[in-house]
Amino acid sequence: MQTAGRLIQLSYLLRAFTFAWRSSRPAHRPIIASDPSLGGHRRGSFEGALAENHSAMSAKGGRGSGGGKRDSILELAKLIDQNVRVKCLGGRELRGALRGYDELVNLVLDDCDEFIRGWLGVETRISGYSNDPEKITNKTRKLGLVVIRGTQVSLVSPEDGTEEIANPFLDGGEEDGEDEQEEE
Amino acid sequence: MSNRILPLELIDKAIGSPIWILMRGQTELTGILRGFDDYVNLVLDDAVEYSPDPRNKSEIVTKRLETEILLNGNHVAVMVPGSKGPADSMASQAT
Repeated sequence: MQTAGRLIQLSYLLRAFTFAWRSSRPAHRPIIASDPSLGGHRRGSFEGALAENHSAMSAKGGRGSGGGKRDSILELAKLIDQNVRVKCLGGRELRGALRGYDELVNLVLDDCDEFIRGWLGVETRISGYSNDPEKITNKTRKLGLVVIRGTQVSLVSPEDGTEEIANPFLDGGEEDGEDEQEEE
Repeated sequence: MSNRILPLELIDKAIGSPIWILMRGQTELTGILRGFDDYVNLVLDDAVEYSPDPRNKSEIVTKRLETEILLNGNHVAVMVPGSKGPADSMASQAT
């Protein structure tokens, strides 16, 4: 009889305790296992990352996923006035100095050259390349100051960060022909 | 240089002058730019279209389009303002 009463008392105590504890926590902080106020020692990597993410997000004011207006994953401001290589969706490749851009990744390139592919009638007769539009060459033609449409851009990379290496796939060599790295 | 050139501003400045358009595939156009919109659909005057002959891939077909044309911006890849087109650049294909 007494134990039953004791049990009931204990359960009330427990409920009161958890109620008080929960309402004492600030409302916007979710309960996570790695929260220091819990006194828990277990800090699984996922929960740890989650906790860090929360503090990072609140510290930076919600950047990243919430998003400021001009957040892009590509910092074109760093590449201004540098030589960049731009690959377009249809297979065109261009190279020039980046003079300007906008948030839709439309680009302005100065002193731009386009790499010639194997189809153009005059070039193929002169240079003897086969009529294969897939085959990019090292020959270029000068375009000058150009605007590249952001909707057609598939790659923007600085020339300074790239170098040409020997084809790593030809060593044991049964892979189907991989394309070599370009640029230097 | 803190002042960068906005691409669409450069196109805006080119209104009234010749422009050379490279499309996504192998087609190119030249003409005088009359105007454009947010999607970079273009209005060109005295346009000439250069495209590969579908029957004979190494030949280029030149089509002179008599009236003002509206070019759908969907496949416009590169625009060269102030340029007269392939004739202009093939000459300097020394590299």
